[in-house]
Amino acid sequence: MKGLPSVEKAIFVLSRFPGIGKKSAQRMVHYLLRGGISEIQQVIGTLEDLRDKVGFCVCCHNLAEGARCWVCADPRRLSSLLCVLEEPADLMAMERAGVFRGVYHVLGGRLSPLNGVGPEQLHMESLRMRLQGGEIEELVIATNPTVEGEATAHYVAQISQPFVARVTRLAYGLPMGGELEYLDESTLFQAMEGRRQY
Amino acid sequence: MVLEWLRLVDFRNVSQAALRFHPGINLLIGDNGQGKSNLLEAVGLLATGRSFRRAPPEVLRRHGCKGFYLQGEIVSYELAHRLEFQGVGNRQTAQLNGKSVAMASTMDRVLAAVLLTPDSPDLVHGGPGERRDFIDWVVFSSHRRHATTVRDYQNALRGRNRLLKKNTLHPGEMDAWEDQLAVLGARILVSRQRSLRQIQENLPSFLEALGLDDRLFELSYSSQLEQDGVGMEETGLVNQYRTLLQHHRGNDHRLRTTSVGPHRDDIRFLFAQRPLGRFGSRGQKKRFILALKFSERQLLQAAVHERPLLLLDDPASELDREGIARLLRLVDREGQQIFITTVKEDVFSSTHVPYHAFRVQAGQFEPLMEYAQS
Ligand SMILES: [Zn+2]
Repeated sequence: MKGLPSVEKAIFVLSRFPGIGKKSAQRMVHYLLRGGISEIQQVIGTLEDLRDKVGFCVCCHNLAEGARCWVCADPRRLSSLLCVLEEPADLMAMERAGVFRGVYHVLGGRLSPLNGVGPEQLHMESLRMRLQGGEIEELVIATNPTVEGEATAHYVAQISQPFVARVTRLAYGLPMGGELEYLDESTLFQAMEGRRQY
Repeated sequence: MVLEWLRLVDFRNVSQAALRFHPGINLLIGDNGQGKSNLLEAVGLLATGRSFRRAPPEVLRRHGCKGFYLQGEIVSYELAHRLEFQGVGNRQTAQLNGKSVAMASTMDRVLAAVLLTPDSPDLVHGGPGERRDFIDWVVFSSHRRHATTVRDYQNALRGRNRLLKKNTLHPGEMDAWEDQLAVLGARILVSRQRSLRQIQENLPSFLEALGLDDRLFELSYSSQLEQDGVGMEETGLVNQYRTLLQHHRGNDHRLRTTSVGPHRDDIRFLFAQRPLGRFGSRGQKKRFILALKFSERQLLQAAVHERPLLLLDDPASELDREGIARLLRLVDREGQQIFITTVKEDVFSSTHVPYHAFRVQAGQFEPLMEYAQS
């Protein structure tokens, strides 16, 4: 696409998106150009809204349009039950499942010294302040079952111990609908370790 | 397990070859650089999914070629299997009976092997890292999860070491990473010691078969824990590691590296209660390593439920004539398939043990008459 630097640039920017390769980016750009000004204007407007309206919840650091997110603003949620997560995407997954009635605290990542992420780079201090309020009765740690997620879980457990009576960790286990023979050794091991009375 | 046929295309210095092997002893005779070790490497690649020379794919293909291809016809578990392995560019793939399989998992499906190479003396003379790699590989052969545990441990270790390079330590953050190291470290220690105990049980009979006095040789695990953590519950080990890491935190900070954990452990080889590396003779050390390899094979056999192949790269450079004779009798007694490379045939022909031989020259393989001494 020599001689079309703007098209090149658009392809380059779009191919940075996760799951989008150069081919898909090319198709997206051609789709936009075919759609004309109105199609492009719609995308621009949507992106501007993203930029201007979406921020982070002042309370739990979830994505929010406004000061507080839809979870924190919902009076029916149990404010004594708090679930700690790494990213807003994890929260969305939890909400899609509809299995949790409490409120959340999004850390904004996980401890990772190799990437320069320590407790100061995460929302640990605001978590401590929330816990200090004394309203939380149970804290559910739902960081990912990776080394970094586990180290983060350990850190969270440590800072919450003085304030919360009950600190729990999401169980590891078998995926529903999965078949034993296709599971890797680690998953099976964790499931066996975490077995419970029938 | 028997490798009946092996086909090689553009592998190392071999452009094309198809070899039919004997279920017993296969001797590959040739001068250095002719391709006999390459053949052994090809068998090892089929069995373990990795090159024992730690060679990257681009080195494995013949000079000027795009890729290489290996195909083995194997009889194991009373069934015939076809195992294919190819490297194109930087990608290596494997197929079992025409279906794609993960490379690391081919090993326990139809073919398994234990290797003895000329650099095996490093096991005695090299640093502790050589011996840790050895025991980790042994653990991994029967417990696949070990690879994940070791990888996670290395991640946590790099994490703590990075924190130690900072000027001030955040105690809570250190606790978090040390907890990971303690949990994973204890798991590694338990697995390694379990495998080592199994080796200790097997080893004496192989030492004896190779003409060594088994009462004089010992191997033991050496760690920084009290009594090397022997007989302790895993939770007790976790606590010990946690305490040690915390205790050494200040010193580690000065050194900027983690001094406590299974990454610093070693396996001691003792001869008459003194280090084998310094007090054993050349011949004793070589036979000891060979016995260790037979033990490793025994453990692998327990995991895969069939006799794994034994691949010996130039053992005659390691053993004298009497040692070779004992080796062949042991192999003959165990009744497994074995591949041996050698420069000179005469040390083998004088042992009275029958074998099949191939002459290896410039990447070509020529089957010789079966040698059977009357
Ligand atoms: Zn919120």
